[in-house]
Amino acid sequence: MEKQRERGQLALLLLPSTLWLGLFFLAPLGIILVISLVQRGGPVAWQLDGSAYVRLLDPLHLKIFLRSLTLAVLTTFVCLLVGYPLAYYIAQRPPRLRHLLHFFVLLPLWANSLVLTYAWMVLLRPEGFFDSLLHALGFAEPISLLYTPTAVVIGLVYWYLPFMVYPLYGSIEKFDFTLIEAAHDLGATRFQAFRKVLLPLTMPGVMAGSLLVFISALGTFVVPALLGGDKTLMWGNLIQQRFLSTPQDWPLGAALSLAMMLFMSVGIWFYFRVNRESA
Amino acid sequence: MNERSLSTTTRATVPIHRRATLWDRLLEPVLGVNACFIYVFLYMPIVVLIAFSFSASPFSAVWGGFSIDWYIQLFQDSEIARALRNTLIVASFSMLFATIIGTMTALALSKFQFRGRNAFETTLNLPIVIPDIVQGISLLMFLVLVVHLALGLPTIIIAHTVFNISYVAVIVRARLHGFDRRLEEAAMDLGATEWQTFWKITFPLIWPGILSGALLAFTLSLDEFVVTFFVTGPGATTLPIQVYSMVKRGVTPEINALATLMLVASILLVTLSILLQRRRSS
Amino acid sequence: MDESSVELKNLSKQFGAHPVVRDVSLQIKRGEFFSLLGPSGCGKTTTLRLLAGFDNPSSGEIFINGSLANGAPPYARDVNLVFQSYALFPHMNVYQNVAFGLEMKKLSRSQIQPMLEEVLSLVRLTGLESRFPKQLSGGQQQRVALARALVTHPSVLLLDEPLGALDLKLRKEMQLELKKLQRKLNITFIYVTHDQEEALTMSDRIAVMDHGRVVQVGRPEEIYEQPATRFVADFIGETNFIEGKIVSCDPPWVKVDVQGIQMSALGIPPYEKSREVVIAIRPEKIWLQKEHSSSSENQFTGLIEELVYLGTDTRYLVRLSDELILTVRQQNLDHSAFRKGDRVYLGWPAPCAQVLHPETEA
Repeated sequence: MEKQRERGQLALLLLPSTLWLGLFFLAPLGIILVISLVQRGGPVAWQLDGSAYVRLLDPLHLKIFLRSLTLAVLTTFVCLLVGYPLAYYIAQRPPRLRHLLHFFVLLPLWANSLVLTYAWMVLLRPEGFFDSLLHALGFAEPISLLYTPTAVVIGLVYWYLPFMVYPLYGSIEKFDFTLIEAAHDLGATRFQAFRKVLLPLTMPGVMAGSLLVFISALGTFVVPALLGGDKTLMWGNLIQQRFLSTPQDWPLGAALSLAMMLFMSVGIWFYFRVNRESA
Repeated sequence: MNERSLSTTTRATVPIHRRATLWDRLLEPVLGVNACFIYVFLYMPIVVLIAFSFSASPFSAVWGGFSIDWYIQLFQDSEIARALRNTLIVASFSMLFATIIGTMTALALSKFQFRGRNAFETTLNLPIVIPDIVQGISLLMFLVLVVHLALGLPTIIIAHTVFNISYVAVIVRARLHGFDRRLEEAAMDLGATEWQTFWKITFPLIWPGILSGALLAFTLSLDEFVVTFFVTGPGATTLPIQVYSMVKRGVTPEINALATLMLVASILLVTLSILLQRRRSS
Repeated sequence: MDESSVELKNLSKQFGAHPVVRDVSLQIKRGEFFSLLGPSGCGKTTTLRLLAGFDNPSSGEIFINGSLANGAPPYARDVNLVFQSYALFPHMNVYQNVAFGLEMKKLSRSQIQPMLEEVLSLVRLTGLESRFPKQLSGGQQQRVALARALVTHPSVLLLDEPLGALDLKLRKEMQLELKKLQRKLNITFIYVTHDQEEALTMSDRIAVMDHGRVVQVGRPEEIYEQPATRFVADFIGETNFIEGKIVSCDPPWVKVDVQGIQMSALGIPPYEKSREVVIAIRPEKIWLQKEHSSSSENQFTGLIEELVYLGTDTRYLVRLSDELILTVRQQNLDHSAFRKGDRVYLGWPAPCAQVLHPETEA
């Protein structure tokens, strides 16, 4: 009877979230799966058909996948390249300054990301901040980075750098710096100490940060929509267009969504595999 | 052997290497420059935006004189007032629902072992991981094709509550993780029923966690754009949607002012929540 | 039946496939100070939690004041627990912590006040009512936990290593205080500890537990003087174990051959000849002297191999033969102590040596 009472409590506590997530999260994902498997037309015809997955492999789409992957990898790489030294630098400061510096890396996360992207538009557009600054400094040539892949990478790095620094800082701050001293004592140069001691021991942070940035950048929608223009479409924009813009193709949009999640799952799976091996 | 001779032999057998290479000496300054560069990168857009919102020449790096015209224009804009109202309604309701449901879920997960627990936890975390565009699209399809619900504020609230449940559950669980279950046992041992134990012991002690979960839910809902973009309907424009459509129509000085206000509001909100937490923990 | 305050009948508890408490049966009398003693993981704390009602037994029955308590929730049982970690409510002050149980019984403020004053003066905490647990020393926190559990006048008080977190000096003081308190209130105390000394000084009776089973129940002197098994003898105090074969049996005396040396010891028959047994003998029961004693029967010669000075006494390692070394403890009464390498005579009164079955633990 004790068991029964506990089971009743459990059911009562889990009922609302099960219902809510089941109805408004899992069921919709199921619908997407169904849509991906039916025929196109008006905008969907309920006829079982796998052709959406064939249209997925259209060269035009493959080009966009490739661009998305490249931009996501590039973003991850840049974030790591500048984020690691930053996290290391912060971790070496005295405690008060350390907390402050860390806080100021994370603060932009809380600002409205749409607004921040808009700020970059203001900076990068023709006759915008950079352009007029260069002009005032005597450069005659007008520059406009807006609506280029460079602008998209700048925007993505801006959005996701805190995602990289947060786990990196976590693992570097926990790191016992007497180990570096021990390595020096045993004859290692600073670079050797970094490669043989610091980097391997902070690898979990590197992995977690890279995964977060990669997954987020791959699924992004707003940054390319605002900073990339029509020429630098990414995966997310493609999904949106197939559902909401002409020519509508819901089955293709659904297949694109599932393919995106598949890619992310591979990333997560890889992350957990590497983590398990190193543990 | 006296002390002096001992020290000389030591010195002789262990020669001191000075291994400060160029790389070693440059490392610290390079790290410092890198850090400076990043902070400039992070805050330049914010600073420039705020400056522009007060500048008579709202997009040029050349200062055009101080002006609050854009703010005056903004406050006279009834569309924006409506969007603000909608945003607050959505944020409040989704915070309320998500806090209650998320806390119940966290309590169940911390207290009970049950079959299918792993699957449940995975599902619970999925809304955090799954790209917002997929969440938005799938919910839109579900609403349009299956339940035929009219798009509007209720559908936005439903959508925001989905991911907020996950975030609240994560935060409250973290709080419950440090919670000593023996306190509950002690209360029951002293005659408190389960219901009394929850309200007298558990709730007061995990309350800060619930509060920060609620604050996070509120903030996330205020800022949410992508999911909202898909499930919004006529008359249910929120502030982020309003900003997006204004930006798409063309960059105007009015957006500078609106963006500045939104930035200041979120920074104030975060600072407030951090101060609250610090006071609580001390 | 009427006399027992708590009775356990064939109590067992498993977590998954792992048995933690196995077939425990105990009768604890009203007003008794009863200890559950054993190493960590022996099931003593689980037994206590079953009694308090936090876990349900896999099988067996629990009677509290003569009525079956199985399945009753913790708040419906007339037993209170003093937690090892105290489990004081951090958001309540001393007053609120102690008053908690009374408020749950829906007593009014005017009823609570005198009871609270009484119990706080009993545990000497008067004046600290408005302090929070964080602002109290370890000893004070311990007293709050005690007061909180006592104030509702439970018929049984359960204590789970309540003194474990205190330093040695405070622990000794609290041991005496707890014992006095128990006498005064005449409440049944069930006390869980892994500290044998604590159990010996405080308890009326002790149940020694090992691997979920009760191995011996008895008064402290019974447990110490007549350990039932090798485990009990080993766990409580220091013991010499001497392995040998039975030569003859003359109840209650058993003569044992230990590598050619014959010893007699107390044993409960039947013991058949040439069976392998173990003799247990406490180090302080062995006498050492330089001269041969004419009267004693169990008398041997040995060589002092090692000695350790311990202040009040000295511990000697005495070699009797190639493979037999005994530990001997002698009080430092005079200066005629022995030196390393001395040849000595040693022996013991036969009733002090006890024959154990060598395989009791299997």
